[in-house]
Amino acid sequence: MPGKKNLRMKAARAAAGLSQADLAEAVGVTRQTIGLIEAGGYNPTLNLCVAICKVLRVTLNDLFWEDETDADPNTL
Amino acid sequence: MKYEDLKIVQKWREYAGPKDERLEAESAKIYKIGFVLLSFGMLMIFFYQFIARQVAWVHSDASEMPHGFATPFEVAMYLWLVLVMLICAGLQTRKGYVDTNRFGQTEHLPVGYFLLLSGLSGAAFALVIAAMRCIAEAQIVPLESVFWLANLATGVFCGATIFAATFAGLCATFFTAKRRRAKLEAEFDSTDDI
Repeated sequence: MPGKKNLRMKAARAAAGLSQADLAEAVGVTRQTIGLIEAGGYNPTLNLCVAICKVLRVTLNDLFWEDETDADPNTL
Repeated sequence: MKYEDLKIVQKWREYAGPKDERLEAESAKIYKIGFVLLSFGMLMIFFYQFIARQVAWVHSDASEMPHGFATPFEVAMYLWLVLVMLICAGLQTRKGYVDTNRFGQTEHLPVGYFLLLSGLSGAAFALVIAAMRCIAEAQIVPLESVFWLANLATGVFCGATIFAATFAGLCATFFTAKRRRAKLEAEFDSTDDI
């Protein structure tokens, strides 16, 4: 996988009691797309990020913002 | 009326559901590969056929003048392929860019980059044309009768022509894209929404 795993999204989804398939249906994508976002294999558009945040009732910062300390040191 | 406003399109979207953006992006990549393989592959095959006929004509007494090396059907296929490529280039310039790298939207003509692209295209075509002619000749005459130098000269001449045409085409698309970009930027700067 080329990107970094999004474990915060996985945790937020689990906290909301949704499976990958449930979240995928709610935002109108396939289950594989949600799986790939969580695994760091796909970089979603802002529209999809917002849709996911709305379904999980979290903010973009909660799921997608990375502080410098969180960021992959190879990319800095 | 926009395409999205058509009732039949709306009905279809209700039936088929929303599009998955990742699948659309993946499909775009796959179609891009398909386009390159299909268009350039077909052009090369047509081109070889054309060269093979021309070479065969040269090695006959070359007396039949004028001589057609492609049937009207083949000419139509050639033209269709070229037209499709021109349409793609035209659509790209309408969006205001000529390439997807840092030279795609520069304000000044990237002469060095365009010369590099044109040079590579010209050199590749020169080699391909010379090689195709030699291969085609080797199919019909003994190796000692192949016009190696003449084929190389033909390849170089065609390569030089393609170099000049590619450079001119790139410059033309650059200036068209630049004008189009200025128009798009003027629309972005409009104060209607303020």
